[in-house]
Amino acid sequence: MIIKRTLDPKGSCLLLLLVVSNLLLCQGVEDYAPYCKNQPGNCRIPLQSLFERATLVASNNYRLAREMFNEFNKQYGEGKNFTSKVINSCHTEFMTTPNNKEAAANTEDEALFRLVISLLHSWDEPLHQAVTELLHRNGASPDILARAKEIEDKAKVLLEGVEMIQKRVHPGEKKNEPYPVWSEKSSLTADDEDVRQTAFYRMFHCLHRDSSKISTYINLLKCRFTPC
Amino acid sequence: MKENAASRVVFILLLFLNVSLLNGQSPPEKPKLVKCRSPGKETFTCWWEPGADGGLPTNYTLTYHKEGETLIHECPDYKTGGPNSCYFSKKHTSIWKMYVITVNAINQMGISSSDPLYVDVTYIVEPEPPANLTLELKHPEDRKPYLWIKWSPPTMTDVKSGWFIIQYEIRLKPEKATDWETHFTPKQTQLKIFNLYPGQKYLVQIRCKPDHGYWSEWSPESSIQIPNDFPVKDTSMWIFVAILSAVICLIMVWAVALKGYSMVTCILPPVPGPKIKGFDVHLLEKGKSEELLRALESQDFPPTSDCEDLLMEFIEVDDCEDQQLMPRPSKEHTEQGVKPMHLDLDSDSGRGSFDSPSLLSEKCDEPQAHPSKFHTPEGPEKLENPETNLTCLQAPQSTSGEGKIPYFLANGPKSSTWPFPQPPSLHSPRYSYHNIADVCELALGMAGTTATSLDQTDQHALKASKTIETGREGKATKQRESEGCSSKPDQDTVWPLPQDKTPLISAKPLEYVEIHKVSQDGVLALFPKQNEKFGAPEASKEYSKVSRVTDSNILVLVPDPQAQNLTLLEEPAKKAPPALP
Repeated sequence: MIIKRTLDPKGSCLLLLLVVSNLLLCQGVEDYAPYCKNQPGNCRIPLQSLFERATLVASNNYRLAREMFNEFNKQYGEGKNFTSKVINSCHTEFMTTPNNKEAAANTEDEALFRLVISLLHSWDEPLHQAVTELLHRNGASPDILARAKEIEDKAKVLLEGVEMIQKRVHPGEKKNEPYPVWSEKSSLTADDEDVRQTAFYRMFHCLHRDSSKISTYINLLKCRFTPC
Repeated sequence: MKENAASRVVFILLLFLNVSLLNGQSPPEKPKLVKCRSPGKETFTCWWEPGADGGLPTNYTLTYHKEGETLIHECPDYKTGGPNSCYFSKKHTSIWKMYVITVNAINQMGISSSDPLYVDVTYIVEPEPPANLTLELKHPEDRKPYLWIKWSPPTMTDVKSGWFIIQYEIRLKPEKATDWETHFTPKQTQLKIFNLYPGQKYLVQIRCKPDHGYWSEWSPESSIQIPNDFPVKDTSMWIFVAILSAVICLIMVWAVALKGYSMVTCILPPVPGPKIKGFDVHLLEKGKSEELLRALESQDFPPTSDCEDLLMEFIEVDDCEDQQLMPRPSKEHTEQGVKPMHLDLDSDSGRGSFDSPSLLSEKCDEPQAHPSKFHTPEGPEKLENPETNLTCLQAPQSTSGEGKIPYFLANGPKSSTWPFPQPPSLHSPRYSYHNIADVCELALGMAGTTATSLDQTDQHALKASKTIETGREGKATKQRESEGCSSKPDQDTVWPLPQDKTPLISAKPLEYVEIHKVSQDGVLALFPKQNEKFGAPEASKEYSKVSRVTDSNILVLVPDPQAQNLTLLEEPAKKAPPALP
């Protein structure tokens, strides 16, 4: 059997494009030290690098939450005074978190780490429920759904990173910190549109705030362990 | 009494109201909270807009309560932020907590409260512009020169502890340019600018923004002058370009090597070979020439015989039936041997011209056998009238029993011919007769031929006839000598006439005339021919004067009273061309 070997013009173009793009990319990218590449034994990513990644992810999550909240408010919040309804009703409200710079400066690192990890844990479930509900709803905005999905994914990544940092910075026994449980699933999936919309508004509002907290706390921790 | 007191109070109140209304005083209008801003997430200020004061001095108070608290507080500082403002210090500022703020306007008439404003300090951050903007030109060795821009974070922002997350934006432009060149830097407080134009003065501005909040105002412009000798060159870019093009060439060479032929055919398609339409090349390959030729033949090759029709004109020979005093429309073929009966047609003279009547004596079958005898050579026999271009021909005639037909040849483009008289002994009964002499007369008379020319031609013709004539009777010869153009009236004479087709033949028998002589004036003297004798012409009446010309070309001759008797002659109607040129 004779196999004909032909090269499409498309294939050669693609290859050319690949080579060129590779060259261009190589020009612009900084030179990273090859951390943990082909290195046996202990491989430690620098703490500063870990913190930088964590702050990036947290900052990105914060931006996504803000955009999601703004879009929902624009779509459904016109004329309705949701804010007054959702005041003081976040499920993470009862966590004692520092609310100004002095209080935060006085909070220990471990406490801050615990707070961050608790917050991230507590948002696992609500985000998952929100995504599920948005998928099932026909009239849901695709932008909101996409952002919710991304936040859900990135929150898990951030949690891993913060736990890794905590392990690096505070190697010791692990304590499983309790975290607030979210229990508004029934409101989120209610048939009554008002009830449902209020539930979503509350969720997005609380997520926005908690994302800001997480981002600020991680940055605080970063500036404590690395030069800012 | 009590009722009186109550009513009095009411009355006074009403009076008071009336008085105030009359004065134009009213409770203050509702104030409006405009905005609240925090410069560094540590303090914040709120501003409001007062409404109409109702004509009375109005006090404004700001009250608030925090999320999760029920206690209502009043603004701690009305002054720091300016008029109509409330400044919240660090002590009174909590972030991630909602503030519900209300402004109240109070005057003597009443209190008006604004709509509550829900404020979370985290979201109302608007920093000051960055401070200490410095510009410096650097010329390091072995490296490119650059502009080094440095600045420091704005006041009231704690970036160092990490509490405030900040981003910067720098813009610069040459002084006279219109568009700014902007650079975005997260966190860092310095920037290096390369590729500046020497000799230009640059303006630089900077602003900042928290991770969530509002942009600050642009800082005041800083300027720096780039000296003229500022080097700008950079060779690393060219090295990169050279490497890239080398790589591209290598890839192309490789692609060509792999698929060279197909690419070449794509770019330069092969020129298609010649193709004969309807021709099957495979026939050639097989070597079957017969089929090949058959294929060729099937396409109208060789050409059919239609071409011949175009090349040649066929001559129609008719059977003594048609009268000929005019050229016939039949085709003439001068090449195929002159048949006795042919019609001389000018190529360009139509039938309508008198010039070229071809007086055709038609040919029957017999004379065809003797084409040579009857053939009249053109040259010497032709009597040509130089003016009218007429030709009289003398047809040689044989004295044999065959029907002799005078025939003639056209001498030139325009010629008419006169048939020569034929011997009467011809036994072909179907000859038609021409009154050719009349035509001659007409032609000559109208044209005004000179006698001399006619004489000469006459004699010449006579001579010529002698030479050609073979075995003719002497009488005929004589007659010719004397007559020239003559014709015989007899039916037995050999002048063929289209008896059948002569439409205008008169009832009278045709009479023929003979030219007796030509006087010196050029006048023809005609004698009617009344007998068959070929002898000497009788000196009978001589017609030499034209009386009139009737229609249809009938010339009426009268005897000249001076000279001879005249005879009325009627010419047979003919189809001769009516007009002389």
